[in-house]
Amino acid sequence: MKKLKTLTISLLALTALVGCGGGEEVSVDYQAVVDKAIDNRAIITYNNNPLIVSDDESTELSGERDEFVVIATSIRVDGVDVGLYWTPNMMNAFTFLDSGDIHKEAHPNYPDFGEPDRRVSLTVTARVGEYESASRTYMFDITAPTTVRNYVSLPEAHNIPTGEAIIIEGQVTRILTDYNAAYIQDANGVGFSLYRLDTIGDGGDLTLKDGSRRKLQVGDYIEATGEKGAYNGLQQLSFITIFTEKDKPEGFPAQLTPHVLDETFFKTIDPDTQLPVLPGFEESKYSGQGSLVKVDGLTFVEFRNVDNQVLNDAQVDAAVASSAHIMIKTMLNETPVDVYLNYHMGKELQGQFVEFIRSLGAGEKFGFEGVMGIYTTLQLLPMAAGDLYK
Amino acid sequence: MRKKLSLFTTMTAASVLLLSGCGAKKPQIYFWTGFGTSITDSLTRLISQYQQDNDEYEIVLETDGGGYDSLQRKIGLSVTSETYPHLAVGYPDHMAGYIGFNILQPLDEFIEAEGPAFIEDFHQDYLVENQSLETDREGNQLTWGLPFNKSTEVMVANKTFLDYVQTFDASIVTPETWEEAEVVGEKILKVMKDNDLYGKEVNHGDKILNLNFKEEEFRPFSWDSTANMFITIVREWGGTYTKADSWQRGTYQFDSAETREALTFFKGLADAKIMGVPQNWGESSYSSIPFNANKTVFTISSSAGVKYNVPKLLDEKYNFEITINPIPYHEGATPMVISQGTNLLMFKKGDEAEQAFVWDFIKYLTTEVNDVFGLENAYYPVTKSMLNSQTYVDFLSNVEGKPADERAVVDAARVNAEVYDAPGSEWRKFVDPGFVRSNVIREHVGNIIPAIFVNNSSVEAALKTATDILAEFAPK
Repeated sequence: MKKLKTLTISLLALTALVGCGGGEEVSVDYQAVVDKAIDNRAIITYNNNPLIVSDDESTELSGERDEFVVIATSIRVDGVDVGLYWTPNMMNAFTFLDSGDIHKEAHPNYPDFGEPDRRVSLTVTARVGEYESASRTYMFDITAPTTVRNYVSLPEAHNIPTGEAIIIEGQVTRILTDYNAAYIQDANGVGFSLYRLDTIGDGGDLTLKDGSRRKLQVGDYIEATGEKGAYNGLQQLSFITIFTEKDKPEGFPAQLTPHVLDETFFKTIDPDTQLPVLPGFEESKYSGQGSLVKVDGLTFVEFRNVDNQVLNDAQVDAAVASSAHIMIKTMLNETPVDVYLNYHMGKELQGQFVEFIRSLGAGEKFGFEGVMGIYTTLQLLPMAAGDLYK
Repeated sequence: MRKKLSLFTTMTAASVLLLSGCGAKKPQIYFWTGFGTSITDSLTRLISQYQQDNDEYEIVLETDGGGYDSLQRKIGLSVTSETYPHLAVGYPDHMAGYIGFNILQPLDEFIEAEGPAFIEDFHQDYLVENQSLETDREGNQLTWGLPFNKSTEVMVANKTFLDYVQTFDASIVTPETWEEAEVVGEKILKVMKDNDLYGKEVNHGDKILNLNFKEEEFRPFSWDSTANMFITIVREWGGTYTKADSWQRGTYQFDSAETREALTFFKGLADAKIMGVPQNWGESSYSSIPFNANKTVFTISSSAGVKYNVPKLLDEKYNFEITINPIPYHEGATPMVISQGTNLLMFKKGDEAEQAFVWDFIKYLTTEVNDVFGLENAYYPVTKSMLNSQTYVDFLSNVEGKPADERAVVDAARVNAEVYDAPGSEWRKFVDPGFVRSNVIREHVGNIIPAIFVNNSSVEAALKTATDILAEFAPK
């Protein structure tokens, strides 16, 4: 039998807290609260769903798909915050990563390719003060990957079929402000798009070497695991499950230098790819999409929306205010070049780029240094302050 | 024997009192979606209009623009802190999860109070997914949501290309069935080859058709969503895709003779280079780029995304005309097309007055302004009244002077209203039964068609790969 304890809170203090009207005395059965907490299906989720298993069933977590479960460390029941205490059945069964204030991602430490599968478990109890629920155990069959992990270089990643699971690495060159997308580049100047970043979890995208997490930053050298995708010509890593901090390879340049592009580049279209070819990449016919480039001598022509309609000043302001993409049509001597202001950069930065263009005198030339993307045709993608300059 | 503790309300409850009891701030109703900017703007306008006459609560619309999966994750994580919203949008498999979390509110009592005409006005095909998740104790199906933003699939055709090839073979027309599509495809390939059209630009009227590509890049037909394609053809050929035993568990049913027959037919189209999917052109999800480049002539696309198939080159001469058509069906079978889009869900949150307010707001969005919401966002009205409203009828009949992409949206809406949803129509809109993690099955069957079309897998090998990986969903 548990000892009765009465918690008293000063009536005066609570009245002050609630401000108007007095506090109401509430009777709480703490044992019932912890019992209810342990029965709540939200304490552990798998693929955003409750983990529906009977006591003798286990759940498969596939090393092929890097699956994990999300556990809660507390839960509110009838207005009471209940602590949830988890114990893996062996020390090295899981790696726990923060996922918001009261959740953790429990990533199984998967056997390597060829090693036997193993069964592990997570046991949880709910506690408030000295009141504790019966424990509940969730069993998992942790399966080894069925294929060797598919590390590919960025040039290979550009040509690999969509849908293949791949692991790539590079230095982060640009990130859209709302973490919708980012770009990485290798030592040879080949870039690649990462989309989307916010699929990992609320605790941050990048797992650092010490196991902690934070948001990705420009300059990070990372390894990313996901599925090769393509969107309107843009080769990208999609369905990203892991970003890990990594040491730069030996000889990696201290500073990545952009490819300097001139009019000849933009107006020479390869008949096979229907795209320009980056100088030095004639064999692979790499267009430079995803890489850092520098283009000088651009002149502004007009603003357009994504439906290719010309926008007047008021419409441009409205587009910024309503978070719409804006296309800047420019000319590089006689050749048209598109500059694309993706609204995911945020209204403030998008507005700054618009004001930059408006500050140009008639016919005044400007430059771009940043990532080149593609949406059917190549586009310059300002994403950081200073990407457009006079 | 359990003993009880006595204490005053917690900080959280006190905070709620502070907010709601002192008149400092209007109580708030939280509405979560995963919509992007354009739909959110439209919804914001409608909410503001609603709040002009209904201002006892403030409706707080929240979205991170991250889509439906992100929304599902956020709601799942909010359960432990009881911070989930009053209402949200969701798919059937999301609804199954929310039932599992015990946070989803059945709507039957609200619906019954409105009288039978209320629910009868809804498109009955759209109600199925809301009424096949969980029953009451007597075994009656409960209603867990109401349809909100619904779209479907249509076939976009390159009219300029068709007009041109008809000058060689007048029998090349837009097919109604897959069997006709096979014949049309063969004829198009023949015209292209016999007249040496690959790698050329050809003039047709005031348009130029840019056929400057290689023969191996050309496929007369394509289908954007390989998951939708698989699910639709399984049904068309008489098979069953999945079966829900309850909201907790379901099984795949597609490992069948009907599925093999359907896949064998389409493998024939793939092998004959009559049909492709985005992966044939190096794309993950859409065929709009090859369609705009004339590398495919008929493309099956979401009705909500038809405008992406409208060419927008600066040189107007290259911008071919399009038509919007029903998707082909299997000869002799009931024509079927998938229904997509989410439902409005009410959560077990708030007191009776708040829930009554939320219900009234759900009614407003589904039965009073669903026509406006639909026409602004390329979705289809979910009730007969909204489909026949003057506003919507005007929208369907008024295309004069509209740019090509807006005309495409209207034309797709007309296919929906005048073919799929027409009174007496044979067409059936279907949705798959939802259960916890049914999305995993959908995700993996989406790989079956690319395996056959791109990787040249046999039908058996592609099916085995899928059923192996989906072993946990195997029929018992």
